[in-house]
Amino acid sequence: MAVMTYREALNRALDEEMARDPAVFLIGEEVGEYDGAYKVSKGLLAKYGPTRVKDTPISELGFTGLGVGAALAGLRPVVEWMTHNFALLSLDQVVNNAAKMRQMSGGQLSVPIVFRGPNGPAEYLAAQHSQSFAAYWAHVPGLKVIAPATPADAYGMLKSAIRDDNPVVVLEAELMYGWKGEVPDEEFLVPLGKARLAREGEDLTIITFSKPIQVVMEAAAYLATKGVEAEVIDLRSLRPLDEDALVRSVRKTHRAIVVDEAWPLASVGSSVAQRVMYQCFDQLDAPVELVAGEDVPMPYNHGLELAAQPSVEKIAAAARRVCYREDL
Amino acid sequence: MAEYLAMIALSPTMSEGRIARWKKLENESFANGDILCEVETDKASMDYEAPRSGVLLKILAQAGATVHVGDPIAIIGKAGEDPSALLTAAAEKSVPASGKATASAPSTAARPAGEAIASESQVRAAPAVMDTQTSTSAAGPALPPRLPPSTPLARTVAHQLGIDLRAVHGSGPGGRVTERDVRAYAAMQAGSGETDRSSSAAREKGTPSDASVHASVEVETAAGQPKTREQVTIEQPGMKRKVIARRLSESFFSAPHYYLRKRVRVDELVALRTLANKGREPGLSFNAFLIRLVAEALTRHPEINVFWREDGLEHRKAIDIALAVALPDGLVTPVIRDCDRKTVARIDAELAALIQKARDGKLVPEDYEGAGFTISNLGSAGIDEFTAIINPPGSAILAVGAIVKEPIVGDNDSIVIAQTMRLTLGCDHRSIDGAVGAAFLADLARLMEHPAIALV
Repeated sequence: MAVMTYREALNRALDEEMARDPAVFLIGEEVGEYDGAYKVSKGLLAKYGPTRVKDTPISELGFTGLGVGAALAGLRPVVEWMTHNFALLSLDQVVNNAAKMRQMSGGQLSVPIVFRGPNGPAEYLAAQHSQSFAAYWAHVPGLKVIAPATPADAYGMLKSAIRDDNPVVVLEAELMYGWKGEVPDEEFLVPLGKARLAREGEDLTIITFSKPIQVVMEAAAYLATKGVEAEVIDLRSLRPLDEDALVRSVRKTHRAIVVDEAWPLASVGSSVAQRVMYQCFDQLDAPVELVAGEDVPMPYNHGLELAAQPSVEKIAAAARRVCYREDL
Repeated sequence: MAEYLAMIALSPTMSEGRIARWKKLENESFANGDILCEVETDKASMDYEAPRSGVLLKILAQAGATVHVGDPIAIIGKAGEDPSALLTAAAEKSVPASGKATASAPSTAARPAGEAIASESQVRAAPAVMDTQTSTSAAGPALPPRLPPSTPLARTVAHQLGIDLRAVHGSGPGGRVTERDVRAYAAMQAGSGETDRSSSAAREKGTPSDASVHASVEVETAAGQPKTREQVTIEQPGMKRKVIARRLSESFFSAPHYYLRKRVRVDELVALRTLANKGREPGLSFNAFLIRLVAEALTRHPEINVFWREDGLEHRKAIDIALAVALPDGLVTPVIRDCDRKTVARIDAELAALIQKARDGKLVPEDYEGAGFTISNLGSAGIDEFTAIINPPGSAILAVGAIVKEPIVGDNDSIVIAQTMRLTLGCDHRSIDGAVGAAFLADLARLMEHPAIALV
């Protein structure tokens, strides 16, 4: 089993899928000549040529629409957004075309397309480039939304996304591209719609997705030193949501913390908290806690930038409340 | 932020509690779960655990004060916080001034903060509690009417364990009852027999082990010797003792008692019991036979089964008989319902269950309220005969002495050795005249001497 970065895992998935299916092509800003803004598409132009790895002008609505059209025409485009911050420009193509065509055509059309790119805050990127838009996509029926948080999942889930006949939005993260992990050498797929049990525990359930998994695992390790064993669930798939995994865990632990780096109102985190509250009401021994990004545009000042995001301290504080343990 | 610490219900039937002693001083810090004070409830002395960590800023209810559940006993917060705003508010609400304990007392509003704090002397001077709420029948206070805040899981578990959440001390924020609180309460209930005994052991020193409520109040005061001659300690009675004191004083001083005595020969009854218990383990108690025979006598003399009430005489249809049961911290009178329609075995089983429930401190009002007739049996204590105080609202009580062998004059003036016992019937003359009481006792004696009559 090879240890590789998240970036390399995505690259391997793209490479294998492009080799497997000539309908798969990559389109986006800097994906070709520059090998990708974050080097995810490194070497693909050289290997598959300019007809299958297309550089585009800075025109998100345009090339996203081009991708949707290509998908309707029978290809399997992978649209790279340099970041989800820029993808706001392409919302109309995703929400009104990609997500709607199957239903509005009575099943005659399908849009087998993948939209992918880094989402959420990185560092020193200020308010306009430090946003998590997970909820924007997860809100929309007709889309699938995934957020792999390990290299293995990045590989297996991107392959599943490319093979899926529905539009799939992939949430990656700039800071995750360098994360390393084991990825089995043989080819495999990770199904969409299944959560990952990242850590087993009996005392409380922490539910998260994407980059915050790191701070959640640190918090779980801290809580373990205090005798509290947290179960950590990595959602991986935001739509469809694996409610069974949540229910199974929370019915065991009777307490839940949801960690989402996005703003708290109308977020994936708040929605997940509602599902847990609804599904596990009689089994809850404390209100479900939501540890979210602070409800402000991201400050540029680095100290404030860090303070505006979920942290071990904030998660421990929530654990203190749900466990009624002041010593946490 | 500084906040009130409220008196909480520490037992299922607690509506108010008396601060026995504070374990923390003002301005002393405490951790979550530390014992802040000891509270005497109607059933036992309980520890009041800190719901969170903090500092005891101000004690509002001093040791000795009696405080209603829900009323503040202290102000807690962080070190250095100023409790004065809350103190003023407390003064305006006049909590927990001793006068508040009596619902009939006028509100003592707008007193300066210092005076709002109940002092020991105020509390001692305060009239007996629970007069207005309990009316005629309650032998213990009811649960607070409102449910405390609780988590869904706590409610689920409480439901499974059959626990009334109002009885549980919530350790969460704002007194929220959590699953842990419910389980702790359940564990405490399971072990409460022992808790009751140990916590009230000191109070019970000098009190005879007494199956009768009726004499115990007087006996205790007479026998309650101070431990050392140099230092006289005056002990505030616990809640349960106060209830016993109030009800029996009420009964003794308002109901004109008279007593009828009768010696009965119980050879046949003893033989019957021996026969009935053959091969039965454990055997049926003597009290069960006694209750069954009294029920039989009551069906023949319904005029005994009456309540004397303000608005008239209530003739009882149901034959509900109470048996006085001694507990370390005072007596309870669980009631067997419809004794005329139950077998001795059934009565015995119900009695055993009720006594166990009483020992566990789990009796609820319907277990001990509204008996039309009460039996107090001190036979096992070796008492030959005694008088008892009527257990209101009933009008009569039977005091039963020990079974002894004695020579009696039998048929043909022969002297024979017989098993006898002494019955003393106490009646309320307002509702039962002497001749009526005498006819009942004579019939009861006949039934006890020849229990076979009860069958026909």
